[in-house]
Amino acid sequence: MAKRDFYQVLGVKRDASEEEIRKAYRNLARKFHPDVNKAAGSEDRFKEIGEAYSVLNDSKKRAAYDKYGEMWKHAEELDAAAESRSGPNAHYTHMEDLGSLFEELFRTRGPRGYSSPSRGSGVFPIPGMDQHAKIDISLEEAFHGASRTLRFTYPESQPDGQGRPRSEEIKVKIPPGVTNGQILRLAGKGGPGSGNAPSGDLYIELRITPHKLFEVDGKDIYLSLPISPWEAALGATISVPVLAGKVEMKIPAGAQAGGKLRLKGKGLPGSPAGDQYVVLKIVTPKAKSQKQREFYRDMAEEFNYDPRAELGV
Amino acid sequence: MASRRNKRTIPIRRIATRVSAQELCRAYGIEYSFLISMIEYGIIEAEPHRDFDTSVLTRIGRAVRLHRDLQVNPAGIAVILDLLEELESVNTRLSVLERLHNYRNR
Repeated sequence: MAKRDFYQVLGVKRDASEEEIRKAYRNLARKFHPDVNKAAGSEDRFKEIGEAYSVLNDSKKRAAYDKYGEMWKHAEELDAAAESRSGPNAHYTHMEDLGSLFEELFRTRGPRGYSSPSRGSGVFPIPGMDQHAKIDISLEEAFHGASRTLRFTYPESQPDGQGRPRSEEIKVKIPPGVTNGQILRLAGKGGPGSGNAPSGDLYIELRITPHKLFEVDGKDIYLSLPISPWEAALGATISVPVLAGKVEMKIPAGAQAGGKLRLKGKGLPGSPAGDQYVVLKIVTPKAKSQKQREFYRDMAEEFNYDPRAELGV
Repeated sequence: MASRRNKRTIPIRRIATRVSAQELCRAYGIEYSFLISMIEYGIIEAEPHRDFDTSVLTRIGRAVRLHRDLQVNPAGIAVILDLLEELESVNTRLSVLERLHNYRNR
């Protein structure tokens, strides 16, 4: 995907001062920070803003960007190439870049500033990197438990000093009763350490995807339930969907719209288990026939009821 | 380039419920002093002489990102996290009401 212009990303002019760039960055970073802004795509946008700022905030990088645009990282080589006009080295230079990119990728995997794997591993024992991953699960999976297979690729040093990628699959069993945003910690399941050093840990953030019937709040779940006026007025026992299937629920006589009923322990499992809340909506059927219209008129006469009495009109 | 792919499948059955201060600092790349200030400001709960419950991980992750990305100090983080949690709860309730509103009369 083509990258957007960094000035455009920050919404500043090409001749913007350092202060203007800093101000634009602060405003946008605050607005699109993924912990504050839950809209889809805010995380990508935040990264884009950070990348643009990291270049435009550095006068040397900014000058290179102004001159070479997307190729700014290669400014020195491009300058050298322009000077010597020699082509044969171009391919070699490219290979070197791939190497440094590879190192950079592994270096940025963990939060700690390790030396690059090809230089450090095999010489000193270095503990493995902690890994952070995100998994989307459905509400049903949060209720029943689930399993997922994650794949990680680590550089592994060989006795001959060569680093080779090693792919590792980890099957994670997610226990029943996890909540949205919960982070599971799997000790020693992160990146392998070099020498005798221990492996890092694996941290998995769980996100519960939206459900077609229920809303989730911690371990509690909410269901909006439509009922008829006579069920509300007279009371009724009706079938209600719950995560485990369905239950019979008693609606008390005289129930009102917006009323909240609790099904204890019917939320996500745990100790204590969450509850399911059922919020009532009274749905008034349309009078479609002459007989039905007559019936509503009879009701009006019989009840002589003014729902707006408190409004004083 | 010589490349060999070793594939290993490790099933996980046990998930840790406790995490030490040292492990937390390593996982999120933070100083011990930052962790202490998060306890002092009530951002996370610590029990005496025990490792942390892993439920603190969600809050710590958020706190670290707010501090690192937006330079928010611990007092500010505490306010933001409380407000964010309240906002999430309000949004849930709003979604419930919107679902109610969207039921059509048939």
